Formats: sequence, structure tokens, C-alpha cells
Amino acid sequence: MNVQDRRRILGPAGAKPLVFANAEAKEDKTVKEETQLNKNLSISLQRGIISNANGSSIVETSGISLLTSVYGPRSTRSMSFEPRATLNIILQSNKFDTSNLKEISNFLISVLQCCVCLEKYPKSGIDLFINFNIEDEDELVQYIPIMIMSCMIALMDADIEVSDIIGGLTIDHTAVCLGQNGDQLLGLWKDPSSDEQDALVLNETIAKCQEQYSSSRQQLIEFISNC
Amino acid sequence: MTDIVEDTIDIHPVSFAPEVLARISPELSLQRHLSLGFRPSLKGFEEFREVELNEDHLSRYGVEHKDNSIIGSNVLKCGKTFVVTTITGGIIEDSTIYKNEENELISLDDTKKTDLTNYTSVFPVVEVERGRAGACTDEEMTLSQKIYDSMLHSKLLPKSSLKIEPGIRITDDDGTMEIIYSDESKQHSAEENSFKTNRKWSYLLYAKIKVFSRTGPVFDLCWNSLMYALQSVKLPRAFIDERATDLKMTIRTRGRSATVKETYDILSDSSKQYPLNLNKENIAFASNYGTITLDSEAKLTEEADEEDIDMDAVETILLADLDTESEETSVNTTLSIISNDKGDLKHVSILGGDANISPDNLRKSILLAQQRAKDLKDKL
Repeated sequence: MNVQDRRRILGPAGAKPLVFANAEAKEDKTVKEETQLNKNLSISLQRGIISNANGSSIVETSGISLLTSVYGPRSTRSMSFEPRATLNIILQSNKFDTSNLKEISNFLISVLQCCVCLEKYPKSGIDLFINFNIEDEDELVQYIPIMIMSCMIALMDADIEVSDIIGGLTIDHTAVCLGQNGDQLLGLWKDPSSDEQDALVLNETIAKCQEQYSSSRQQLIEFISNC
Repeated sequence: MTDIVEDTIDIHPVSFAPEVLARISPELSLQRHLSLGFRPSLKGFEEFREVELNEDHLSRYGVEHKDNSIIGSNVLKCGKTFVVTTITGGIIEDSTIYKNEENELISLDDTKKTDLTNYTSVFPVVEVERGRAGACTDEEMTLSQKIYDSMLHSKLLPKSSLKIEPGIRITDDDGTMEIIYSDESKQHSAEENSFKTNRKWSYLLYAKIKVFSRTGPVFDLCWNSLMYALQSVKLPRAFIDERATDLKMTIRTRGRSATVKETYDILSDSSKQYPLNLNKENIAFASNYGTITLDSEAKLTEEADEEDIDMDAVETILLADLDTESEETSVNTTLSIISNDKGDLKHVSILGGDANISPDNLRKSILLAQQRAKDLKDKL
């Protein structure tokens, strides 16, 4: 019996998870790079699939499938008066470390706080759960644009007021979150593993993202208006 | 004398929209629906929800080749609810495996002990999404335990099918690697003989069952999804690197005596795999039923005054595939049956509530369970 967690049936403590010898990893990478170029073209959006949540969405690309559910605005347990709603994002993944997920979750909260009208919902909490159903991409930074898109659709599905449609893009291991038609930079995430970049390169990356931002925003607006 | 003032009070009947009544008084709403001959979900009494299956899309051996550690998967959609089951594997040395189960079975007689100890179960973790984070709920714990026990006792998964016969990875002088499996090639008998060990390993299977959009009892959905997922499981061939075969580790106990322990790092072959061998005749599917006594007072009749309602007559009806909040809260007498398509029962649990389960209803539910199992089996 597992001593750490008596609530779940986790199997014998001495077991080791399967480790796959990746002899073919190098061959796969070239295929992955090719598909990455076409990623924006093949994106599938759905909303309103979870009946007991206030809002939900599924956003899928070739290697990522995220299911987001929104619960709220609902009353908080806090005894003191809160003039604004509290936003909470919980990421559930089998692949990534909890510490990394926590960091991404804090990043997403700070980005989404810029567009969700939290002052409209005093004394309440809005909880977003993001489930990683398919997680073939190895870098968390690749998930950020999809997560933002998924959160936006789910929030709108839950009829929660937003002031802007924000979006994110990932170029060269850097995720850039933009709002206000691409004029406002809301957040920047760089994976710690990626190489150091100077300010000039970073500026170029942001400029590239701004160019592409309008197309991803348009895609989202089209989806929402067709619903 | 005081004057008696006679005020007339008009009493207006209050009426609610069906969806409002369902929230205020789920039992009355259910009874009203049942008296009209259908259920709040507009299903018939013995009607099941349609089940949709997704092919094995999530595992590394699925439709699209992936580089993850999932070895079998299934997505099952039933009504609004959907269940995502992913199966991952682990490796354990046989000496430490299943000690608990053997201890538990000591009190049983020998024949039963040898019978059941030849089988094993998966280790399931059920998560029902409800918009709350933190410790698992009672329902999740009960579901996981019930799945574990039912799987073990249904004798679906023989221990022999999880045995590992590791191969050896040999690196040639020019740096090319080759993996030799004793049952595949006989020409390398020399290398094979050089590696001999008394130690045995087995695979373990872990199932993560995630339930989204829960609308009613979910045990049968979790079980059925697990059945489909298990049938898609492929186990990788495992091997030990030749450099690791003679690796020994010195262990000191109390600073005096030193013992030598061999350590093996078992790796899984990413190119070779074989399907999990299940006891196919024991593949069974779950379904749930409830019985409820019809309340003659809740009956909606147009000519209520004229009709003579017999208050003593008790009519009990059987409902198949319980769903929606009103059924879950009002139907207290429930049956859960795991049966295969031939009608062999693997698990039956009856929870007695306020309604009697007549032999007729019991018979009917067993028959329905068999038919349902047949339908579900044909979906693959």
C-alpha cells in the first residue's frame, strides 16, 4: 500500500514507470517541424460541452488538445468584502511538473486579469480548469496561445464579461500575449531552457507576433459570432 | 355582540414551469413524468443512452503515432457525460508484488486462493470533474475501489499476461545497437546465456479515468470505458542493456557485512510491442438500474374526480440507466450489474431503498444487462 496517499489506489510503492528508449527521436523531430508550420490552419474549436460547468471549451491542434471549464462567478468563502472577483486557474497535466504548471497558471491569471471585467462580479470567484487531454508538444510555451484561446472561449461561453479579445502567439520559444488589437503587450513568457536572446531579437519576435495576431484574433471572433 | 366579519379569501393554485418544478421538488417532477409514461430525460423506462466511442487516439500505439507513455486509451461519450480513460504502465519485481492480496486471502480455502491469485487488476484513479480542486471525494474513492475489486474478481487480467521476459541490448564494436529477445532469435544463444538471473519482473497497469459533465451515476460508464481501453492496450517489449547486466551494488548493513545486489535498469522498446492478453470470455460490461414505486397521488389525470384511485395498489417500475439529478436523488433502490453478452454475471450489487425489488424486475434487469453488454461489445 502506498503510504503517501491512502485515498487513491496507486499500486505498490516499489514500482517504476515505463521508460521508453527513444532511438527514433531524431527522425521524429523533422516531421514535427513541418507540422508546426501548418498548425494555425488546423485548429478546431468547440464550446459548451460540459453541462455542469458554467462554460467550457475544447481547442485542438495537431498535437495539443485542451479542455477548459469555467465555474463561476460563484460566492467565495472569504468573510471580508471583495470588490472584485478573484480569478483562479488550475492546470491538470500528466506530463509536466506541478511547479511549472503553477508558474504558467500565475502567468495566465495576470494576462486574463487584463481583459476579464472582474469589478462586475464583487464577492465572487471564477475558477478555470484546464485539462491537457493530448500533450504531444514537449515545451510548455507551445501551449500558452492555445490555453489563452481556450480560456477566452470558455469565459464567453459562461457569459462572463470581457473587455477585450486577447490572444497569444509563440515564436522561437517565446510566447507573447497581446491585447487591444495588438497594440498592448500583456505578457511575455520565455522558457528557461531556451537560449539567451538580446533585446533586439526580442523586439523582432514581438513585432512578428503583432503581425500574426490579427489573424488568430479574427479566427476567434468568427467562431464566437457563428455560435 | 361583536359582528363577525366574513372575509373571503381566494386561493390560487401556484403552477411552475417543468424545469422550475424539477429543481424545487425533484421527486414530484419525476413522479409526474413517470405517470405520463416517460422519464425527465424523455427516455423510456427501459431505454439506455446511446454510447459513442472514440478510437484509441491518445496512446502511443493509437491512430496517430505519439511519443508519450500512454499504452492504451478510450474516450466514451454517453449522453452528455464523457469519460476519458488513459492506461499507463509500470514495472515491478515479482517478489514484492501483491503481498497484500495474498495476505488477505489466507483465510479463504486453498482452491480459491490459488484461483484468484493467478489474476490481477489495474490500479484505477477516478476523477470526477466538479469544479473543485483538492482531495478526492468519497464518490471517487468508492468508484476506484469498486473498479479495482470488480476487475480482480472478474478474472479478466491473468498475471501471466503481464510477465516480462527481458531482452538484452548489445552494442557492437562499430556502435550499432541491437536488441536480442530469447524467443525471437536463437542464433544469439551465447549472449543470452551470459545473462542469467533468477529475478522476475511484471508489468503493472495504471488507469486514469476522468469523468466530465457528470449528470448521474457514473460507475458503469467508468467500467465500460476501462473495458474498451484495456482492449486497446499494447505492452512494449522490455530489455536490459548488456552493460547493466553485470552491474552490482554493494550494500552495507550495520557496517560489518557487505552484500552484493544486482541492479537492473529495464527499458521499454519503443518499436516492438504486443497486445495485452486478456481473458476474452470475461470481458463484461456494466449497467445500472433503479426501481421506484409509483405515487398514485402524483398522477396527472384530466378527470381526477371521476376516476376512483386505488390508494392501496402499489406499482413498482424498473428504470434502466439512471441519469439526471431527479432520478439520482429520488430513486433509492438501485441495482448495478456487470455481465457479459452470454449472461455470465461478474458483479451484482443491490442497494435496497424504499421500493421492493420484485423477482420479475430482477430477472428483467439481468436480461437487460445481457442485452446491453451485447450491444456494447459490438461497438468495437
